[in-house]
Amino acid sequence: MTGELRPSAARWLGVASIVAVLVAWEPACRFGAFTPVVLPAPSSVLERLWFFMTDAQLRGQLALTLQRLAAGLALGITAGVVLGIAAASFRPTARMLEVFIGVLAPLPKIALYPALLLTLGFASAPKIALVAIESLFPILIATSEAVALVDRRMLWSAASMGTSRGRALHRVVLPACLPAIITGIRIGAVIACIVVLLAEMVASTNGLGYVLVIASRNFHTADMFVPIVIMSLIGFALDKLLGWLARRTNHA
Amino acid sequence: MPEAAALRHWGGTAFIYAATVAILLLAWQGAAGAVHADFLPGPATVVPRLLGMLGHADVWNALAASLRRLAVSMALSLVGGVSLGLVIGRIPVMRALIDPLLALSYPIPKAAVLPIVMLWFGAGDVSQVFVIATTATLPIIYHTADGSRRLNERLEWAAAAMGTSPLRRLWRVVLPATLPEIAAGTRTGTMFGLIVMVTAEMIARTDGIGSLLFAHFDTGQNVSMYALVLLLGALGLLLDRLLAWATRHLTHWAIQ
Repeated sequence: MTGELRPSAARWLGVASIVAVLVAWEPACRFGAFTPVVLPAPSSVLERLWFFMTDAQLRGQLALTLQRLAAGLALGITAGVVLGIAAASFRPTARMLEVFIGVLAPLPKIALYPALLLTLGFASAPKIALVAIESLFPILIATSEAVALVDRRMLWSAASMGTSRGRALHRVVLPACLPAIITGIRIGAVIACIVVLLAEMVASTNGLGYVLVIASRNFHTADMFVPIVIMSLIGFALDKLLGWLARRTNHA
Repeated sequence: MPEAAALRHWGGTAFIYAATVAILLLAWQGAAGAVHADFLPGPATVVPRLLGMLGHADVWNALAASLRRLAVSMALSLVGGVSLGLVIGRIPVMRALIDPLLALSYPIPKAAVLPIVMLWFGAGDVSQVFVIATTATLPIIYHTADGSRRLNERLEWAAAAMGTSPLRRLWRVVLPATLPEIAAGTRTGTMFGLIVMVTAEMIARTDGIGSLLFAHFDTGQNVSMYALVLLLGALGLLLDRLLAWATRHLTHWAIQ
């Protein structure tokens, strides 16, 4: 019953199931099981996606969202990796970081968003800050756990050969932790893609989230799918890319 | 662990937690004192306000609405996630068919789908439960599938050799052996669910803590707004600790 399938067979079945969903979805809409307002056909979503990509103004909204995503993620990665390595390298601060994560990680960070709007205004800054805070925690957790798991013997042998502490960090700790850190970034990146869209929806002045809200107010359902499809594809691509990178850097 | 040592260990943990919370509150108060503005009140004003708000029915009604939605969503996620996870974990053909669809649905911003779901079911509980449950189900499916797939086959052979029927084996062997993974998935799923719950309430604006929080934001009642942020932080921490405790007690026999 639990005999494994051949990988090629598994792959074909996977492709078949995705195609089957799309094939069932299309005629269900075409022949009136759903009205376009309730559920548009995949072909009309694709058509709107094409229109979106060829319209300069809408491409501008996408660019804005991508800038916020990149800035927030960059901040989250930098803070997470630096703080994680710094705190986890010393025993008292490592224990404090653990509790700090224990207290703050379960807080739904989106609840801070109104406070960020009050302190940082309504432009890009609060959105970037929210993306940074949300992506920070998975990266911080992965980094500090990885540093704690570095084989002490590697550090001892580096020290016995006269390597300084700073150099050991660069040549021993960082390479040993890199796959785990990248895995943390992978989780943070998918969350960041989701959060940037939500931040733009809740306080919407521009960006893809704003496009979604406007489409929803006008009951243009096919247009509502477009920002969601775009962000899902970006999240999917980042997830695959970072997964590949984590495997590449893993020499263990 | 002897009683006294266990007590000391508990005391130590409690002390470190209290110290960390105190440092965070002090940093917050310091920042508020430095900025000295309406938009950033310190805990010295926010904590008394929270205590005052707990004397009124508003907060409790909002909390009840939020927790009811979260509880219904988690019950649905647990039933759906464990069943689907077992199907994927135990039947290779189903795994090949369903895994790619799950991988595609993982990066979809579920809370952002809420405006579309609201066209189907309205702005109320059904739509919000739908997005909370779909988010929380995914980690439960992953963990259940993974755990039931890596099950020690000899356990099942032994049960089969003693004449246990396949359905009974699923209930008596596969399910208990997968329990640690199910618990881990439930913990992750609940934390995801809590985030989506707050987000959905902020978008749908019907009732619940997220909706109340934004109502205070709109009317400029900043102190009350920060009080609710604090309340949500406490709720998240409490849920997380509760689930960690439950996991330890349900699966203490498993090798970590």
